[in-house]
Amino acid sequence: MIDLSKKGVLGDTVAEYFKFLPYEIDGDGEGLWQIVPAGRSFGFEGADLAEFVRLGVMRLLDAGCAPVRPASEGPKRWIEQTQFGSDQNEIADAIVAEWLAAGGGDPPWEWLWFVTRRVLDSQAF
Amino acid sequence: MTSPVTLRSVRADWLRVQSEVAWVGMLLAGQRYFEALSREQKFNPNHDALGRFATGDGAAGGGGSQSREGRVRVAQTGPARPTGRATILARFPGATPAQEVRWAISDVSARQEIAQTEALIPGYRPRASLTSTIDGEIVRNEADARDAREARARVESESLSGGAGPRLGALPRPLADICLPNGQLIGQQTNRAGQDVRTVTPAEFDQLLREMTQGAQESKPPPAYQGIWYRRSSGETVGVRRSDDYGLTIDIVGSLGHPILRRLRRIHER
Repeated sequence: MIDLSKKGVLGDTVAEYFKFLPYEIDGDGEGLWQIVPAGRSFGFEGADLAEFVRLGVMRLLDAGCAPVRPASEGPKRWIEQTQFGSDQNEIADAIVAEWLAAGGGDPPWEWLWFVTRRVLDSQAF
Repeated sequence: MTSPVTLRSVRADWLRVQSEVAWVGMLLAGQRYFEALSREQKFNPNHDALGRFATGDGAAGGGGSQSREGRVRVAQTGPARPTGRATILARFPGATPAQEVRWAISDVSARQEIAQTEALIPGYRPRASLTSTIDGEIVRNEADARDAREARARVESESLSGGAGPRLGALPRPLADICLPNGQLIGQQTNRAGQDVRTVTPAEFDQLLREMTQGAQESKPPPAYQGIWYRRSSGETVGVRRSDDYGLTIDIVGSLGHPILRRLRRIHER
C-alpha cells in the first residue's frame, strides 16, 4: 500500500492529490496522461506507480466518471470505452493492465480520459 | 407576348431593387467602417510613419510636454486597441477554438510590442485598419506587432545607449523559469482544485501566453483538443485551448520530465 501522506514537489500529499483529482470531470475531463506523471512526481515507480494509477482511476470512477477516449470527429466529443468491464474494480484493473501492457510510460494526451455521464452525453465535438 | 411597356416597367423595378440593395450594402459598409474607427485610434494626417505627431498642434513647439529625448509627448486619448478576450467571441461567435487561441496570442503580442514601443517612442500609435473577420484581426494584430517591433528597432539602431524595455531578439525563457519564478509556482490554488491547477490574473495570463508561445512552432494536436499546441524552442510543449468552464486555458502538455512541471496540469485565468 502506498503512503497517502507522502508529500510531493508542490507540498501537497498523495491523499490531497486524490481529493482534488475529479474537480474538472464535469467539464473538461481528466486524462490518464496527467495521472501517471503525477505519480512519478511523488516518487512512485513500478508496482507503487501502478497502485497510484489504480487509486486515481478508482477515485474518478467513484466520483461518477466513465472511461472515454476523445473522438476524432463529431457529433460527440467523447466515446465511452465499455471494454474494461462494468464493475469499478474490474474497470480499474483492466485500465492499469492496458497501460502496463503498453509499456507503462507516460500515456499520450489522447489515450484515456474520464468524464461524467452528463458530459459524455452532451458535449459536442 | 410581353409588351415593351411591361418589359420596361419590370426592368425599372429590377434596377430599383438593385439600387436599394447597393444602398443598404453601402450603409452596412459605412457602419462597419465607423465601428472599426471607433475601436482604433482615428487616423491622423499629422502622424508621421511611426505614429507620432509630426505636424499640427501636437508637434514640437506646439505646447506638448518634452520627453527626455526631446520628443513631444502626446496625451493618450483612450485605449489604443479593443480590450478583452470575452468580446472576441461576441464579435465572431463562429470562431473556432484554434482561431480564438491564435487571436488571443496575436492580441497579447501586439499589445506588448506596442506598449514597449510607446515607452521608447512617445505618441507611437499602430496604424488604423479595417477588419471584418477574426482571421483579419489576427493578421492585423501580427502586423501591428511587427510594425511596433520595427519602429523600435529603427530608433534603437540610432541610439548608442539602446532602448527601453526588453532587448529585441531575446531568447525565449525556459518553461521552468516562466512557471517557477524565484522557485515558486506561478498563480494560486483555488478552493476546488489541487495545487497542480493554477489560477492567475488576466495580466499574468497574458504574459504567460506571450512568453510560452514566443518563437514556438504550432504543432497539430489530436482532433479533439479544443485549441493549439506549441512546441517551444527549448523542447517543451504547451497547449492553449478554449475551456467551456474557464475560458482560455494553458496546458503543460510536455515538460521533458521536469520534476515540478510534470505535476502542473493547467493554468486558468481568474
